[in-house]
Amino acid sequence: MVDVESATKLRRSRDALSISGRAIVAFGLWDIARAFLSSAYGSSLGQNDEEIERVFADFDIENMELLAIIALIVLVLLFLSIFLRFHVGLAAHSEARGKKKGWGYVVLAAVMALNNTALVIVSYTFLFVTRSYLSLAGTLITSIIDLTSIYAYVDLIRSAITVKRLTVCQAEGR
Amino acid sequence: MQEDFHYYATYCAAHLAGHTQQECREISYCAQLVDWCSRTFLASLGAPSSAATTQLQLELMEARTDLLGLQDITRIWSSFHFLPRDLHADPGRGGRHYRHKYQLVCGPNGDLLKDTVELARGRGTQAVGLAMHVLADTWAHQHFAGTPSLVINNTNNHFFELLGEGDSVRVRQVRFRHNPTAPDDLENGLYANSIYQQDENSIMNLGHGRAGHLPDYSFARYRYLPAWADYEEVVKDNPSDYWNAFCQMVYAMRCLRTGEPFETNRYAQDAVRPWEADIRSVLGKRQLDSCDDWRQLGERMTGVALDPFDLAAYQQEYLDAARSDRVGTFLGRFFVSALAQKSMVTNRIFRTGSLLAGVSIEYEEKGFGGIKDYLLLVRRVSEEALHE
Repeated sequence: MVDVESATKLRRSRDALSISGRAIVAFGLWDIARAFLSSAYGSSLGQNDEEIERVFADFDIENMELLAIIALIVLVLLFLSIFLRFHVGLAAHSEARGKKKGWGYVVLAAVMALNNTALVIVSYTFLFVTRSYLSLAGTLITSIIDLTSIYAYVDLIRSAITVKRLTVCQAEGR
Repeated sequence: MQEDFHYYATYCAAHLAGHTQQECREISYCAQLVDWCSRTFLASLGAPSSAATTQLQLELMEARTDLLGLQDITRIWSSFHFLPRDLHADPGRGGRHYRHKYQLVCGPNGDLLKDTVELARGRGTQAVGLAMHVLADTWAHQHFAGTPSLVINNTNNHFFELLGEGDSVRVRQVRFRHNPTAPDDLENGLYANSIYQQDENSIMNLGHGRAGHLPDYSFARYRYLPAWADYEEVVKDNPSDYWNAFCQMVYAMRCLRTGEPFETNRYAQDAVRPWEADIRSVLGKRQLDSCDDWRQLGERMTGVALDPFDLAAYQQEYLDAARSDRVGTFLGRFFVSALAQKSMVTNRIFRTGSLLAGVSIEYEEKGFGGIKDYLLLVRRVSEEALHE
């Protein structure tokens, strides 16, 4: 017989896990939107069309091939990132609804949280080292979203651990 | 609660409390009238609209949900159908606005209930009937608040009906559907409720809309997660609650009749015991409407045939009376009682610092101010003071 307090805590944690999972999925959608906006309108404020055209005018065939390969790798990584976010988010939501899930998505969430943390640190370091303050606004906005994403990952991990622990206790009748 | 309890059960309770046959009819009529006295009804009689004790579905659909609109809704529903249990309750979390909403959660045996019953003392069967409606609803509608609030009144799919009793209790998930025209399907556990609306102040989040009619079925036992309860499960046992409501009504009406002061947490089980088996049987019967069973029980108790509720019963007297004399008619006295109840509850809520029910002006300190309909109340109180 599960005590009332544990049952309440399990419900609360499941709800938190579901919300975090949905948030991670939403951030995956944001990644898609950000990638589209970056490629369509440029990732750096302060650059205009004339400058970009001048940069590309200096490119020869070899550099274009390299550029294409880099673009392809970035695209693959982008899709991988989006896929992983969806996987983590949907797995969390699924576990919140009572389906048994392994620890894989939790470990993945931890890795992605660390990855996002590193990204935030790198972007600000790059900003201050290169003194490219014109892109401060963009970096600030992106980092706010990244920090929120980190919070969602941390909350997901915490809730997942609690849910798994209490589910085991419930199954054992403790 | 529904007509079966407000009209017929109140009639039975009034009889057991020692009232005469005529008084029983008047009290039960007024108890049921609280569910019908809307602005539409009042407008048809040319009666003061502030005496409204309910809002029809169509009126709610058109109701504004700005500050003034919400205050108007809260005044009506908190005063007559969701009497707050503890206006000083502390939820232990949230800001001031949340705390004020939490303090409107309805429940039995609160201080306001005592005030409600005492307000009816010496004011005729109309006031008694109105008070009994309020008292009965504190049992049925507990855990919900009479103000539109998602964070207080919402429910989710963790809603289970408990079928059977004792060791043979079976748990069945309640399935809600948003079809107000189709009757609830008791066999298959399909119940209508209001649509989920994310807006905090949506009308859909008023009272027990999110739990459908389940609080109004005397047979229902269920457990669910109220939004205010922070994931703690609440078990509602309507047969037990309705039994307590009935016994408390008998006690309250006996107090009002004999002059004994009314105390909360007291029940006239001694007077009800001879009929306990019959009453519990009616309360526990799984049916959408128990009017017939209660009517038959009432007729057996009193030995007199009981007419069904007739909304038009006292209207002609009101319409035929001169304007200055209307306050002395049957309905006129009901309307004044409604104004008194609404004024009292609004004042109590306002004194806690909450503006959810609007502003209340202390007449004795500042004289008359606000809605002119309440002049009727002021005159009545003055007349009573003169009489004394």
